[in-house]
Amino acid sequence: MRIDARFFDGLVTSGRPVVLTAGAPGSLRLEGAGADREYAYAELRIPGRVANTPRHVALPGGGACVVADNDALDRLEAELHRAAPALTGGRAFRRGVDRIARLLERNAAGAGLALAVAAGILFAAARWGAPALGGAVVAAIPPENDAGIGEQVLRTFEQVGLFEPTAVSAGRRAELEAMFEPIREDLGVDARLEIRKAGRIGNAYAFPGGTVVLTDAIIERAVHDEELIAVMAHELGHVRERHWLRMLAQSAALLIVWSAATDPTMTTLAALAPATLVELSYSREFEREADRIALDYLARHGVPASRLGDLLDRLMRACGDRCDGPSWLSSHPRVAERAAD
Amino acid sequence: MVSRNPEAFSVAPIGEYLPPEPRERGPAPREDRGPTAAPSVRRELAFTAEGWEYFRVWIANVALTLLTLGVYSAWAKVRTRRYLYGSTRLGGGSFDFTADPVSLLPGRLLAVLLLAGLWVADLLSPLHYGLPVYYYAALLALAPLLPWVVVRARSFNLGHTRWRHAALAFDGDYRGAALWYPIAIGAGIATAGTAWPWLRWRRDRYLIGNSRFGLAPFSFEGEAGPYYRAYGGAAAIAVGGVLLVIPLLSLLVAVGGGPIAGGIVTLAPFFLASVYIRVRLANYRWCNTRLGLNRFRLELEPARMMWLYISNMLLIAATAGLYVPFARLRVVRYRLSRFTMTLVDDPAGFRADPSAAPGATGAEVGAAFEIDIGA
Repeated sequence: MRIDARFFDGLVTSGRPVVLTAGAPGSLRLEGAGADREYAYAELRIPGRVANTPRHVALPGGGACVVADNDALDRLEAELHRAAPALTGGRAFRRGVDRIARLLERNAAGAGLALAVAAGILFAAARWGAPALGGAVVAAIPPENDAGIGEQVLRTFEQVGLFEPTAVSAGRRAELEAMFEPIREDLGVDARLEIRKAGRIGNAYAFPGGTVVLTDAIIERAVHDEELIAVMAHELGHVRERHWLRMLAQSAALLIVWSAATDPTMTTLAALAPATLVELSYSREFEREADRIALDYLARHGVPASRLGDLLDRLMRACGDRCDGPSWLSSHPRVAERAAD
Repeated sequence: MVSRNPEAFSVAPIGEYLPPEPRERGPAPREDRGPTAAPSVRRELAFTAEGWEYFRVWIANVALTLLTLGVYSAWAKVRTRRYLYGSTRLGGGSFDFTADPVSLLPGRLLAVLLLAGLWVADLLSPLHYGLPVYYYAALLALAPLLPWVVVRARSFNLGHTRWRHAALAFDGDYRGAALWYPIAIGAGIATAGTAWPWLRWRRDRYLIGNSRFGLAPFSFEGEAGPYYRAYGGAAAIAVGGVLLVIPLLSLLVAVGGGPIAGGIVTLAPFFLASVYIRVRLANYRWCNTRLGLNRFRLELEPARMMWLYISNMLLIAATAGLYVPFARLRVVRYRLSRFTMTLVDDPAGFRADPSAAPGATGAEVGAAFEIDIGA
């Protein structure tokens, strides 16, 4: 076997044509341009093949042979590898890695296998890995840490003007506090109720550490106090399960896995779009869990389950059809689906 | 360049427009810019990469990176560069990236630890006006590391980039890197950005002027004026874009578009402005870089580049990322097709530097933080 190559001495960029053959067992013979030389397999660094790009075979002393005929070089390398003393340690490891990579990239079957492996791992990471990690993080971080963060988030909402002081009367606030306290006690969480004006936005929030915020508008829209009890139970469900922390941990885990797969740059960031959809599905799952906790509370206290859906329905009607888009693009399940649960 | 962004694929630092020259190969008739009137040859880079071939290299990298919990990403980086560089040919010789993936691992580990530390700082930090103060304090504490990262990253990446087995090299010192990175970033902020184009110009002069091919030094003859014009153009695009986007946003709200669509529409003018800056500066840098008497020219068109990026993003999102390798090749192919060299010296006559190539640790930290120090 004779391979045409170009020899560069590592001192100038002028190459010389040479011929590579197998020399003495386990040795590479280099002929041409004057002196013929032989190199033991262990002295050479033959890089693994990447597609069909030319390879620079590094020789001792700083020179290199550039080989374009990859098939021939593969055969020659295999022959040298067979005849030479077995590689050990780092050399053997590097050769092994190169062979595995080559197996996957050499043809369509390998690429198909690689695609299946990648898709399987991403699916498993999104479906089981990230939620399991979220659970572990929640278990590992004591709840006492949450309170400070919740305070900070609430203060930020106030500083940037999302929340203004409430216009609800002191008497009404005391009634709401009185409704809140038994639910809090029943669900066994450490939490307190805050009421804030957020323009015309009718919503309720559960901040880290147990601060539940009702906006003025949601209190106005409620036609029955039991509707507000249902909303409080839902938000306290988020508090008890520490959904904010789970979401943070799950999203971080998901984004790390997804980024590792796609090597994000300004453009390839677009590949994160599916990760966003998975995140939204986590969010909907948390909403369903909070709904279940609320419905369970309502059932145990003789409150009709419809109270939860009634207020949601009214809030949605107030904002029109466009508030309830396709469910896979939403952080909350569709109201119709939630009412059915 | 340190960024792992192959769109910034370049073999050396580097691009404004010089007076138009004839596009034909062969001796250029009027080469009167250099001190000697040596005959010169116009050369282009040939790029032989193919979409499906690169897809196979890419998907193998993705699968093995996921399977090894990210450890394989060091091999993925080297193999990606070897594929792209190896598919780039000049005068019958291809480029190569000769780094050993194992040498990337300590730097990757350090980068992961730093990123994890920043994440924890962000998570545990009290907020002031919504800003995590511990996180920014940690960033500030890491600033002295930046010059080290810059120098190590550039010498590693250039030191393993070879053509005809002669390597590029970077000789920049830490003092220069400290001056044009953390100190210049502070100065840019302190002057409300007005000094920024000037600082970028000095930084490019530092990066290019300390680079070599073999024993031949690169030099940078650019001036600060075009940097101001590039940033001015980008500012015009951003302002004009925002004025255009405001009615679009109200339309979006009227038809019930969500926050994701709103975010994309809002960010689009700034994205296009950043592409404009990158293109104009890349062109200017290359066109004013010399390797001895040899000259380069890059003539990217901002509008064409924006179209490439936008269409790539749409196709990547639509294919859940599977279009990524094709998208990269489109950008690299366009960049290389607009790149030419005017060689006075015989390409076979460059003297290589036989000294050993540098280690990888700084390069990997730089890559993790996406510090773009080159093209």
